Amino acid sequence: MSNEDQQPEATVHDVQVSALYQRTRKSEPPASLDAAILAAAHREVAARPQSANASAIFARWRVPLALAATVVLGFSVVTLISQYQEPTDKIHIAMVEMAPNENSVLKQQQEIAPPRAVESDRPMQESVAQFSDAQTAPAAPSIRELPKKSARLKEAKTNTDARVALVQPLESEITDRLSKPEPTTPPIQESRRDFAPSGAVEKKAQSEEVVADLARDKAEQAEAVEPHAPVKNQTTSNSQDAARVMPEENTRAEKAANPSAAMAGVGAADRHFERQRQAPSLAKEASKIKPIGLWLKEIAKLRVDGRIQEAAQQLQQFKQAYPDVPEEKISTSLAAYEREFREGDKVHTLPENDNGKK
Amino acid sequence: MQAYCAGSAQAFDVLYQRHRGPLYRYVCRQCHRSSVDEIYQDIWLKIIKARSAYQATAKFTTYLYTIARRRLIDHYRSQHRHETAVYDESEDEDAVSVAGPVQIEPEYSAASTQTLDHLLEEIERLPPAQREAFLLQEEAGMSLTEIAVTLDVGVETVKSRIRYAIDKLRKRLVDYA
Repeated sequence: MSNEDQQPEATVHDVQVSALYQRTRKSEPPASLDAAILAAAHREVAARPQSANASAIFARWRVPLALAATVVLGFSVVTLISQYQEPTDKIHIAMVEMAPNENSVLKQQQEIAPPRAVESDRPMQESVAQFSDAQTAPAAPSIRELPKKSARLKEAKTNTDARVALVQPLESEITDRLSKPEPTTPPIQESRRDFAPSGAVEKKAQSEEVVADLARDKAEQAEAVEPHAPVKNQTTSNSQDAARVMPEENTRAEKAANPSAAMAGVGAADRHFERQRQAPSLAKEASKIKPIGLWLKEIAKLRVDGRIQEAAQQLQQFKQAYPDVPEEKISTSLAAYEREFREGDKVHTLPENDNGKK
Repeated sequence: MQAYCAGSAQAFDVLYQRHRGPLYRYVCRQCHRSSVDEIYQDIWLKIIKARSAYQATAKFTTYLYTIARRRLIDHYRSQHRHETAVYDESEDEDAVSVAGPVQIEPEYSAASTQTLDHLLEEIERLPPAQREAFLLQEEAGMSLTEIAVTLDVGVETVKSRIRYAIDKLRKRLVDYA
């Protein structure tokens, strides 16, 4: 076989055999058959003279027409898809545009304060700065971070756990400061008048007590919230916030301990005074979204510790914030929490996350 | 053929005169005499009816003999003859055994009528695949590539079939002489 493949193609056509075969080519179709076939061909042409043209035209333009139709369909589909996508893009753009506007409201709230601060008299500012540095130092960083945290809250609206984790540290800090029987944030104007420069030593001692109380309350909150699984992020964020806040608190406490250093910074006093003025409104807003369970637990803790007046004050604020919660439920929950605290067991689960439901 | 499709009956006359003899002999060599006229007429009628759908994608000769081959295959099936155009490998192996350098005698050039009849008989005895390849080359004057397209096989296959056919014919002619 391989030898035959190597033979040249000329050998396939044998000249002698071909010549011999040519001599046999005498057979021809009969004339009648020729006539019948030719007649059939002529009849066909007479019957349909133009049919071939139409089919030939169709055959010639079939591929270009198919390509054109494909292009037109593809363009139409792309156009339709882009039209459907436009509304969603507009919504997205609108949402993006809305976000800075909401933040700007908070910024405006911060910007409202300076003129009022400027109105106040200098000596009073200097004296108050010394106290406010010590008293409101822990709240100041939280207020400064409020726009960021509020933005994070908006992003986490769809996720309830994330919302709780973000809101609770902030609101607990602010409400703690509000709920203190000692110089609280709302009567700052009064405190400015009450604490004159002459009583600097007294103010120092009070500010040290405030800082200590804040640290103790934070530790208690962290203990109370730690076992709850969904709020684990909250505890970490809380501790992170505390880590962020505490150094400043310490430095401010040191400032308060050193009157000369505190008196030197009049500008710093102005800034802190502004923060003091902003704190009440923001704290009130935050206290409205404080979880019911956590708040009741704090009240129960105060009762167990023997701080009856504080507990009553907290309970009053709670009722103002949540007027719809029935008395029976409040008393039942408080009794349950008190029993748990007295037994010494930690509360591992909150009875009900009412904030999430609301 | 394109002129005939465009409506020229005279173009078909020219086309028919050019292909009538070779096609008739191609059919004659591959079927019984009684069926030749019918098959031959059917082939041309198919071409006439296919006028409206004809597309000039290849030579008309290839188109014509493709139709003729299919018609013959239909004829074989209708006659229950299984000698269709399927290539038979066993025939080739036999051919290899008989193929070889054969010296054709000079007196072949002046062959008698008996010798020509004997040649036609030997052509009829060839395997169908080798026979149709040989006839397409001798009658239609096709090249190896055109034959390959018509038979829907490779060029090397066509070459092999023709070579086997020629070798067999030469060998049997020598034996006859």
